[in-house]
Amino acid sequence: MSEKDSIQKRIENRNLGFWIFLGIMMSWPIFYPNPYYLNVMIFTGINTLVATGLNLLFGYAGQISMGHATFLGIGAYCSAFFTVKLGWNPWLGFLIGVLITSLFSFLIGLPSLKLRGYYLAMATLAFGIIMETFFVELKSITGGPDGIGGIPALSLFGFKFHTDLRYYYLVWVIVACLTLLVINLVNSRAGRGMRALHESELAASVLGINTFRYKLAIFIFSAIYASIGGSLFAHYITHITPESFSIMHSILIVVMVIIGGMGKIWGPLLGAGIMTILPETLRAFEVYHEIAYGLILVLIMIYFTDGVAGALNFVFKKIPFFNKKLIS
Amino acid sequence: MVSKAQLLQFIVSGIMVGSIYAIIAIGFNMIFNATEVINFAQGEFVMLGGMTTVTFYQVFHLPLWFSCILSVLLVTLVGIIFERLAIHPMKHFSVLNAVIITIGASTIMRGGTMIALGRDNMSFPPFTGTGDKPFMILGSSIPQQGAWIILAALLLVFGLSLFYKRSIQGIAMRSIAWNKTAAELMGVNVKWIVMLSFAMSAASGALAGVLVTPITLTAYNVGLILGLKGFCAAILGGFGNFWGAICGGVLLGLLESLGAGLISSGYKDAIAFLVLLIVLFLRPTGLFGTVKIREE
Amino acid sequence: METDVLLNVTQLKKAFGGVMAVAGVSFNVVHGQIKSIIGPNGAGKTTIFNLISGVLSPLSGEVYFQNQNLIGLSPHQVCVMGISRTFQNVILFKRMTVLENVMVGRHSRVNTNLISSIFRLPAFKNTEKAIIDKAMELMAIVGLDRKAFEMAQNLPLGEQKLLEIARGLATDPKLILLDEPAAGLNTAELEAIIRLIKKIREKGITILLVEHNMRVVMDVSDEILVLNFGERIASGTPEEIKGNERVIRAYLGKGVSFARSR
Repeated sequence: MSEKDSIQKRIENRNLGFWIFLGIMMSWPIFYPNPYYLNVMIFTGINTLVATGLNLLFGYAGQISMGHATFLGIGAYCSAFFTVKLGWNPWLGFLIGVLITSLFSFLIGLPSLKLRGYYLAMATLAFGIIMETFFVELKSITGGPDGIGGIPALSLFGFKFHTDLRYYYLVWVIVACLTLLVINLVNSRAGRGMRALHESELAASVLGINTFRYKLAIFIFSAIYASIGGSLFAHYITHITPESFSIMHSILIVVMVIIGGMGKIWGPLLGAGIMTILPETLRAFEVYHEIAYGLILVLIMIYFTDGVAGALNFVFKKIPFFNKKLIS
Repeated sequence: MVSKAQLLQFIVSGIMVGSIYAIIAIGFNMIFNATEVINFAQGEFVMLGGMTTVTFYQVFHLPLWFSCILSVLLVTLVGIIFERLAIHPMKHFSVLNAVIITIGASTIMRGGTMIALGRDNMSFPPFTGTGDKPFMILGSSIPQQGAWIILAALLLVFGLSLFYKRSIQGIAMRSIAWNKTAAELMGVNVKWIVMLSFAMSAASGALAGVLVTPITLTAYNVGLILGLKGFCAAILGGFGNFWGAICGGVLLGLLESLGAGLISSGYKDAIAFLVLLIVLFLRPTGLFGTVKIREE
Repeated sequence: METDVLLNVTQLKKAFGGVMAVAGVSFNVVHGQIKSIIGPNGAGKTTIFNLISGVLSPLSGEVYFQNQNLIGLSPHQVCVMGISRTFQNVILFKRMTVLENVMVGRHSRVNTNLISSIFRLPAFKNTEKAIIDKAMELMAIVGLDRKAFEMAQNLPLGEQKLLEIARGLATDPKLILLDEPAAGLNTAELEAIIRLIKKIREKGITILLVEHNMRVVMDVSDEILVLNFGERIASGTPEEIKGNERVIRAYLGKGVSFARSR
């Protein structure tokens, strides 16, 4: 191994910890095929996917989207509509969801990202509220308040993903692949550009980085991840209604990213895990959910800006073995 | 085909509703001018204004006028607490942080109200003219409450203009908007002025809530949409500009009312969103805006 | 050619509120020279850098680089044209390593295909190698190659400035704008900066320098431009500037002694 190769290996972001965790995730159901666990972890996987996308937006572009549940909804409704109402191949539904989401995010991001930080937040909030209305009103396409049911299972070359166990692996394999994609991206020229953008937009721009284009690309990219999550969601629960894609859910996704810790690979996973499992355990207190989300957001922003991942990072750095291998 | 009377009706209701948007927009402007923060919780002040008045009136059986005043005071207090607890401690004042904190605060207010007062729509009677005695102008009717709304909006803007030009606090507020450091060096107590601007903003939000509830009812979740429309109005008129807020609000109200009346009422809310996007695309500074809105 | 004008600035004006920060400044920078802009604080020097690099837009005036108009270009476009710059208060990418900072500088010159990056194709490995090689080379020039994997924020100020310059050089500039590179440095660090500036000139890169430290200015400059209140009050060789009445008056009371510099 030449000196140059080892330099390259050294500058790569070491994410061994993440892969170990993933390995555990993959093998767990073999030893512990509890259906409830599978169900919760499938949702966690989907949320991790969406949170990963949003994490890129927060962590690298420094922008906020209040409409990610909406992009999720677009993916879900596209999948539902094209399979149930038109009988097309489900994977086409995925693709169309991605295309439509890309279009919308492009149209929203284009004017907003030239302006200061909160414009995108407001624009996506507006978008979210409007789409909530559309999901309910456009009965012929979305089925109105009753939504669309009877969404068929996904299948690949005849192998049907119609059991929780199979879906669990499908979701987590997709999560793994798309996270690997993000990791590879972060450690490339584009990733350096994004990290530079995050550190100082001014310095990044005078070094030749088209900051606007990067912000827009990151926004569209994060929306696409949400759309894919939405399609996976639709094929799992087989019946979708507009309620699942409200502003409250957009805020929930924001909470996931914030509580997990922005800009780190672990963050979305931790955040999604916490915010999927916690409400399950607190089902009896559903009325307190909203105020809890708000409190988490405010407290973390003021006192723990790096979230749980940041706190873990801090702890791990003190342990000699871990700090060389696991920290991202 | 729409009759002239109907058209006039749309216009009149548009101005009425637009005045509410204008008052909310003014709330946004006040905080923005003092702190450069966009307060996502602005709409919640409006919601709280309406909801607390209902509670005082229906639950505690206080007289209506007293309930209104008490409510505005209470929400003003909420605004001050909000500023002290959530805004003041922000160490790194990045835009991202500020937005998330105000989003979080708005969620807290919404969630808290839901727990305390439930999810139902509620209302209280209008100030005057109960029993169906609207004003008639040129063949279109406007509820008396509407007249109060328009009057309040105009008084608010006049009052604020005087405040900003003549009073020491107002001048201090403007100086902070211009250059915070210089203002501080000149002896302006920035912290106190910031708190004052939040208090005023909360008060004006509560006022809007109190005024509009008899017409549109209120519930724990009206804050989001109202806040958004107030924001649209502020952008339309030019962020930070008070007369712009009035113009933007009325214009938005008219567009919404005419759109709902002439095209379709189900998508009424979509109009505000479309207006927002169009303004952002074509003229982000709005009609009268001078605020620096691009990163420079 | 020695008398090739690289950068041409004509009647540049910029106002902030009611204040004319730059009040009609004109000058040329010739290919291969080191030109310094000096003047009391607030004379508009950094503003001129901001105008040239596209960070701010001027009220009026023209800037031509190799006969191409720079006005209206965004900062990244100016970089692509061949102009690089550093900042008065060093702006490094704090949570990236020294090596990564310099690698970012290669962004506009070496393009890695996205598909290549995502799937780690051989093309990606090759371009990354090229980027790393060039970055290491530049780090060696400034003397930071041993600190490649240090976090940028852990470097002492002198080395941070060297890093910022190395990063700026990574963009393959024809002209580099250095904003007060000597500020806050001790004697040893000053020697290093002066050596580096001369090395940069040897490489054929033209330098436009804003600086307060007269020793550095007198040592490296071919030409000096003096500004006060946004206006040009003198221009010439170091010798000519030393004895210039207006210049001395502008600095009156600041304790700058021209007689002491070489």
